[in-house]
Amino acid sequence: MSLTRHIIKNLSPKALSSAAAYHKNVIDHYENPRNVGAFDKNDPNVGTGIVGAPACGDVMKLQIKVDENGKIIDAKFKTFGCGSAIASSSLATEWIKGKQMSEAGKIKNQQIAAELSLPPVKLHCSMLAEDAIQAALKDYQKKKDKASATAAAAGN
Amino acid sequence: MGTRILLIGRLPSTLLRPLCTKGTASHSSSSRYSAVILQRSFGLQLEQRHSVHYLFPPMPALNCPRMLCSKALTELEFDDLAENTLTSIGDYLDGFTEWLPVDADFDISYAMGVLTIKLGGGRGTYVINKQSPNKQLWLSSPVSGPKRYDYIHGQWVYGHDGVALHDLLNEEFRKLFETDRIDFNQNRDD
Repeated sequence: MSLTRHIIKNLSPKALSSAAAYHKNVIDHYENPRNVGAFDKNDPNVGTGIVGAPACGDVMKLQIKVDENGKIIDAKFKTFGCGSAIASSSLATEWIKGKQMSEAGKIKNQQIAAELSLPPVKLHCSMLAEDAIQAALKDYQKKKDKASATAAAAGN
Repeated sequence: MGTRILLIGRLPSTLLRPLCTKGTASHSSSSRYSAVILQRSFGLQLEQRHSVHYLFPPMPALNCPRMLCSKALTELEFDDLAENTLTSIGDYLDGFTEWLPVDADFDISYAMGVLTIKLGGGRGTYVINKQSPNKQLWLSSPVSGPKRYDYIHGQWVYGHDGVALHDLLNEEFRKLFETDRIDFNQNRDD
């Protein structure tokens, strides 16, 4: 293959786009993130999960608002990190809204990674999003248990 | 007794041979050398427990000898350890082309603390990288997804299920190449 043809082939749109490009779903979540924001963390109906560490380059805060039936009525997130991390957490809030707590707890990182077509090196972002959901659910559960324990103690 | 000798054998060689370097950057070897000199000049006793000599006493909370636990390593020590682990895994994989049927696109590359293993044939890519702030090794497997490994008692272990990195690699690569002769533990340098 001549040198010129070799160069032209590698500059073709297909060759350029196949070299580690973000999937359109990731770009969509990055440019139009859903559910960005925060709830009052002292609200008894709110569970807050914070995962990651700034030194690692990724921090995710995911908050859920749960009604008395255990259904997640609203979710908000704030993420510091790469496009894949932002998209993973944005997608996570989209998916858990309207679900029961037990259902939301079943969301796995493989599903998030598949939806966003994450490359191998970014699979950790989807894992972090799953961890964020689990942390938020755990925090809400802890708050609820504490509240019912205080109520029981006060009632006695 | 056998296991105790194994424990000593697994201590980083720098503790047992303070003047020996592995061709790593001179600043890291001199800092290890001076660490040993400081210990000796301050008259620190080697603590003996169960016939094993520890240069650094085990931290009670971790119950793990310092040089065998990533949480207790310094950044420099972790860097060397992680680099040795990754290069030894990379070297072992490089040798695959000689005795295993590898795909034409099979490729191993190591740079800046990231080991990338392209399997070729649409089977995906492994990425193992050093995560210095956490003192962990992060693995991304096309078979089992992402995992994070801490160095505990001389092994890189995944906290959630206690499986060692080298054992996971053995299991997955043996299935991928359909042979039991693969053993990542035989080329270890950590």
